[in-house]
Amino acid sequence: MTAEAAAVFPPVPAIAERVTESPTEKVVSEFPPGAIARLELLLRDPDGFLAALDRAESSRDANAAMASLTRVLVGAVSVGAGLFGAIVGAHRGGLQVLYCAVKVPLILLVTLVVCAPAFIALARAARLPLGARSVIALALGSCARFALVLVGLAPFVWLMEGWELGYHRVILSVVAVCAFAGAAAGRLLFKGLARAGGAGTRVGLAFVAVFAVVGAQTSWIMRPYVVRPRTESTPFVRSLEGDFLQALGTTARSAILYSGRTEREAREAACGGSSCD
Amino acid sequence: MISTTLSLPEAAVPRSLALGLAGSAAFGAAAGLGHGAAAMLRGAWMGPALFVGGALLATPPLYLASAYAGSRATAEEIVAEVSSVLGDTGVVLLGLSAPAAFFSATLHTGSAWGLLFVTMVAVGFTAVRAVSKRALSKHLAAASLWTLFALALGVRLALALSHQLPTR
Repeated sequence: MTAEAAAVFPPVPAIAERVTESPTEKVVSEFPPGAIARLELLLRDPDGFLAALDRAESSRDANAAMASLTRVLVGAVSVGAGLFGAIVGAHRGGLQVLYCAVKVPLILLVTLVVCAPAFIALARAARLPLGARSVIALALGSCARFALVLVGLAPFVWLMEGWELGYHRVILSVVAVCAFAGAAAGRLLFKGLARAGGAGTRVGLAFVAVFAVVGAQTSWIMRPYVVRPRTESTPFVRSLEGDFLQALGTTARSAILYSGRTEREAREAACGGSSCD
Repeated sequence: MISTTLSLPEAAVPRSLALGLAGSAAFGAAAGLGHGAAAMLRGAWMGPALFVGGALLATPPLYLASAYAGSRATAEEIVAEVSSVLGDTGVVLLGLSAPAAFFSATLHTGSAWGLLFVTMVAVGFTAVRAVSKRALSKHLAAASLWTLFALALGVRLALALSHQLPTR
């Protein structure tokens, strides 16, 4: 290179000098940049998300990568489930919108905290090649996917509320939406655990069983959400009484009983034909 | 659920037994958390009595079943297999202690007993199946017979321990 050419083109730095990103930035790039892109990967491509999770886990600075991912996933759970909660609370309106926006993300996060030791123990007892951090990341990813699907289906709940189908049917629509979102979350969980072979699927079933039971109880103790029409004031949470299974059975029976009748007729039928006001 | 493929060396037997004891005691104590200190203490000894006691009572018949079925497994190997599964069961029960404590504190209906019963049956059945697969994998008849015996033993132990529960 002549002296003239060197003046026109700046010198090319040595390879070592060109790497300006920190190890943290390099590891984080195992996932697409930006929270939205990561959540889109989680929602649309579970296999790609799991592959990125594996790469991040085995990278040099796995702690930073997992911390960054955890922030995004917890944010998705908080915002996604919060928005869904606000829609559910909108059936009653007023302060209940705020209450539900706080309570629904809390249900997911509290359930995850209670279930995490059981998940780690089950994976360890089954000798799955997954560390505690991977198990928690997988469970948190599934919760985030659950929350994202809830947000996507929130307009359906809003539509049901708008048609004024009644308290019990709105509750059943919320349960149906949660079941659908649960299936989407379960898909990621099972795909993640199935990489460990046949034992992974059995562990996945145990995860789902534990999470479903604990989640049902957490949602029960955090009630009310939709709020009965006759209720005058709406507390943040009710006192401990009954349980989720009893309540679901009562709601299903009431929905059938109220089908095709006015609320007053059904109430009178339940009270032996006479007015029971 | 509990691994059925990996055997522990004999040196790990005390560690596995300790894990089984600790896990079942923690689970029992957690299940009694919402009912006071006396219930926690009762749970802390009833858990090991059920799981560790059941394992101790079921091991001699397992050895006999293995010997009559023509297996070459020695008594030490059988004990190692049982204690390995007991250790895994202890880990699972330790992990389930958090949900058990949560339910004990928040669920005060009849469903709580049902949930506790289902959990213990599921964990116990999985452990019995794992032992049966490990120790008698090539002897289906002996495995089935011992599995039935172990499950009956578990039911008998649970019934005996249920008399120690306070009446409402």
